[in-house]
Amino acid sequence: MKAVFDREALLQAFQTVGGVVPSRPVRPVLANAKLVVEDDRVSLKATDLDTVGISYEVRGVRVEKPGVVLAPCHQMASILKEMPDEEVTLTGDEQRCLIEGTASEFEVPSEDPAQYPDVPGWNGENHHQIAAGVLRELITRTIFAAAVEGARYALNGVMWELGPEKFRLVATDGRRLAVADAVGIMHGKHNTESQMPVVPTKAMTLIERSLTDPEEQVFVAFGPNEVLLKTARAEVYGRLVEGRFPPYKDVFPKKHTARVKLTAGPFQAAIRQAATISDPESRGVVFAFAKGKVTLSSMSSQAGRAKVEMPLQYDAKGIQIAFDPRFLTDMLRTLAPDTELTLDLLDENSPALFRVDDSYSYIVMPLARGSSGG
Amino acid sequence: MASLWPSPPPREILHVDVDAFFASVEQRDDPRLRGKPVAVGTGVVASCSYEARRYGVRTAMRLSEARQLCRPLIVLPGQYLRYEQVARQLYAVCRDQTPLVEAAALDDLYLDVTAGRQERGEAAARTLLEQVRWEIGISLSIGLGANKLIAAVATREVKQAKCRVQSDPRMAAQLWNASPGFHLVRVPPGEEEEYLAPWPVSVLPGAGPQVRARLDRLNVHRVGQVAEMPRLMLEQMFGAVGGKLSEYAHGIDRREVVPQRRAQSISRRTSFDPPVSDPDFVLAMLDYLVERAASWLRYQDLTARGVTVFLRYGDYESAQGHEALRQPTQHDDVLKEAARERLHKIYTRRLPLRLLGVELTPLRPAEQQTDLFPDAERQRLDRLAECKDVIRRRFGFTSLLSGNALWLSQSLDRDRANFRLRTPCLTR
Repeated sequence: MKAVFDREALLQAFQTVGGVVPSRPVRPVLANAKLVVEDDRVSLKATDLDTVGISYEVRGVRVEKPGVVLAPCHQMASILKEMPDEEVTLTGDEQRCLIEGTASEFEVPSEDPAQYPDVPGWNGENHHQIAAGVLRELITRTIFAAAVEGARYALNGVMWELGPEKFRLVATDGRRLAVADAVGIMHGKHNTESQMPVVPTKAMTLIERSLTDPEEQVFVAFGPNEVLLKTARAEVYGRLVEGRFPPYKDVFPKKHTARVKLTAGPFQAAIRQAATISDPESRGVVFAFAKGKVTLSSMSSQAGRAKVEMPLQYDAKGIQIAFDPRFLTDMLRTLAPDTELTLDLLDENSPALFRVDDSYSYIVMPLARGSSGG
Repeated sequence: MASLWPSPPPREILHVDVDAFFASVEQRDDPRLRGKPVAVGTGVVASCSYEARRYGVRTAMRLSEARQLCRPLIVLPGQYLRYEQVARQLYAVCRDQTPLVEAAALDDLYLDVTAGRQERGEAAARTLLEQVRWEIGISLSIGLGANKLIAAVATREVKQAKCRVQSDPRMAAQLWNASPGFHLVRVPPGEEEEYLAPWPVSVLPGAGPQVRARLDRLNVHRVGQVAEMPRLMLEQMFGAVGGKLSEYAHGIDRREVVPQRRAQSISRRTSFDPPVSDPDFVLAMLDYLVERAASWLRYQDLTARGVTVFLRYGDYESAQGHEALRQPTQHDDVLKEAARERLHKIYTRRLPLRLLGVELTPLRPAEQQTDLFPDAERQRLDRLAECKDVIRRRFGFTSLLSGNALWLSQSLDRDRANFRLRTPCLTR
């Protein structure tokens, strides 16, 4: 195999697929990425053999001799990052891989490409189609709410609910729940409403990272155990999380006693101010809604106390409710500062519902106030 | 030179002291003791009621002496678990006012209620007086001032006034119903130095017998006189303490109210004499110790991430091991299982045991975050634990026993509160 690459483009490719390569792989060969050089198309593939795989098209290549070569992924990325050249020449076989610039040359060990596991490719007949920019927004608005580890339910990922008129992503860690909706185009009989597939966080990050051009249309298909996503340059494979997603629709509050209109930016600023005074022991910020204003206060035996007032339109019965401020800022961070949202409250023990238009809902459970020890 | 920044608003410190703590708890619980001279203590008087003080009985006096001064004196040995419980209630009531609560002693608390430029000290003090009177049924003396020293001295003034009233039996009966102002002395900010001046030097922290004796020789008896002495002179006489004394005498006290640090671990242990080898008994005792520790854990609203088990064999060799838990918990069952598992691993020699103990550590504050998807089974266990704790707090720990604790009841005495173990931390 021999080809001349645009250094920037190759670096970007190695960095993108690098997200897949585990730092301590189960098999040594998995520390590599597979560079497949064909006459008309060059792609870089990587998999961790377990949860995710990716195939990424490298552009700006002059192929001199087609072939397949394995290259250590993280090492390649750091070499390419340091080289000053615009173009680099890559030559490789089963033993080694040679990278040449005008004034430098690097040799890294390689392995037999046959040893590298196959990365499942796109085969979706029944699939959904959506604009990359829209999907990206859905992901940023939900992925933060996924749990790191789920004991009872499959919570460590994002659930995709796709139907004829529906393109919905849902994530929850059991304390807060994010639901983002958009419109996608259904091709064939592609419906996941009964399957409720959960895509692991690692695959979600990879999908998010491969959505580079917001205008482009991307395709997604679900199999019984996997998700496949196809963009113009990349194909991403992800194995679904095993287990059941909780009955998330049940937790939507059915009624409310107060509805508050908020603007994302100022609200977030107020929360961040109040949250400066908090320690792991007293993470809560108390929101006291009263006529015409909300007062945020926090108190900690070590760090002191804080009180922040924010005017708003409110004329219902006063409510005092406490939240973990991170749960709110996590969500507000994903919105543009001038986004208008509504907040529905019932009482101090019931979930609070934030809504942006009709396309985004975010439910947070409050903190139990009450005996705080002593 | 004037400061660039405006000076911070004066602090508002409350000093809360329970009147005749142990004795008033006894009088509260037993109506027959009310209005009678009561002393609590063994050997020396640990606490005595105001009625006893009228006879001249004082704290730290030998009991024999107290009995001579006061023939009708009722002497009780004291139930320290009970007092601790009352102290915890008091602490909890104070925590409602501010998280800055420092417990200098069981019945001796400092609260920092500073709230910017508004004054809320007096309101807080009145609320405390009311609440403690109705919820706990004991009476307090409260001093309010700009620092800990002033607050503590103000409390002394309250107590002195109460003692004077007590010496008049007709007024004594009205003490309980006296207006809150009677239990509270407030020293307005700016008047600290003036307020302290007439008090004896002994009110100043650091003015121990030796310091006082040297000041006596200079004919200095009052705080005001100390304030008049040049700071340099005091420093030459007493070193660093002298500088502090000078500051204190001017009503300046920079000591902060330091809230208690959270417990780092909770441990319960017992020794066996003679050593025991019956495995059922050992396991039952392990369960019992875990239950006691876990009950305290829940009371403190903490969770444990692990259990340490330690033991000592008949030949005084000891062993210990730690079992880490995947998730912090307050549940008896989880903790018991972990403790049993660890005991099996460390109890490797075929010898009877002389000592067995458990320690819950590390500790975390309990999770306050509520769940979107409630787990029915877990809620059931939580409710069960809560009921058990309430019953035990009310009727004594051994009013409810797990099945295998019956092994213990066959061979150990018990009273309402607990089994009579051989370890002071449980039976005291």
